[in-house]
Amino acid sequence: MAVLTSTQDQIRVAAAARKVGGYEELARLSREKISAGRDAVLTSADDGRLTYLRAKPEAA
Amino acid sequence: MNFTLALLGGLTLILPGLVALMAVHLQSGRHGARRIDLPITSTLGLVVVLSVSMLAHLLGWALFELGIGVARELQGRWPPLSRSWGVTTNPYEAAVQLAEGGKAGLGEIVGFLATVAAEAGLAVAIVMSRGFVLVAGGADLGNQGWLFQKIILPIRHGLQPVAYVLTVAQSDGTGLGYRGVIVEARQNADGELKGLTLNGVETYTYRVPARQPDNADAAEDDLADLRLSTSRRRPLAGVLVLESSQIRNVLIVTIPDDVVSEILRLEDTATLAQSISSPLIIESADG
Repeated sequence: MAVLTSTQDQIRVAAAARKVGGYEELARLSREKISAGRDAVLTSADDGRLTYLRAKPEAA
Repeated sequence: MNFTLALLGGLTLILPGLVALMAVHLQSGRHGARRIDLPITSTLGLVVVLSVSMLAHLLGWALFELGIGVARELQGRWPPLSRSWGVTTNPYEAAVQLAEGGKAGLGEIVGFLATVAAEAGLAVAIVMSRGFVLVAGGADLGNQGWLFQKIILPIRHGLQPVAYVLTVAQSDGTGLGYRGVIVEARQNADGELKGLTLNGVETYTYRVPARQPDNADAAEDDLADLRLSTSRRRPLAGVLVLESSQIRNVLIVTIPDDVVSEILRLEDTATLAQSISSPLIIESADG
């Protein structure tokens, strides 16, 4: 029987979850990415947690 | 005999619609979210079959009319068309004549059957194509309900479905929880979840907080402090198959694919930076 997601996608998502500390963190980052907008930048905070920051508009 | 012929004729006429419906069922099976096939006697099934058949026959008739008309116009001007190539009558007209009790030649009957078969092939090719997914992408043709809306449609838009599953708790209030990427979800004919398969699984133990008997009339604020206590999560190797009898509830979260890519790319960058700063790389670069 066929599957919903490809094996490659399953491995990628699981690897990303391991990298950030679990699926809960992955879901948090997804929410942050949506609220931070299209130009959000993924950065590492002081405590080592990854976080999305809203990109600052360039000075004219 | 007449009844048998009428039945065969009717089936031939709705063949393009029937195979289009079959293609839709095959596609929903491919999604890994299989449900019982849409019966031909259902209103939706009947409308789909008859609509597709009528459109296919209209297109077939129009194409034959166009082809024969063009051939007649060019007959005197283009030498190869001065010979008769056999198709001088629209096969649809021959089929109607046959249905009215007239006579039709074997070539015309075979021509009509070949046309219907070609229309059926075209209907399958259209339904299975990516273009059809783009046009009818939002329509739940497989009748998969919430599974289509919350899993299949997000996948088509670059989101990866992750399930948070709590299994049925034991009598002491403890149970197992799982989180993982959805591999497969099965539904029964009523749309109820029959089973779920996960990959990249994290597991943990949860405990439902017991409510104190003397606190039965607790205010809402007091209840807000009650939280599901969970153990540390541990990764599981392999694929986990859960049957519906074990599942207490499922929460589905979708992760954008670009978030996954950015996180993995960040890891690659970190690894690259580490390897560049290592003495071995510097020595080999100098040497």
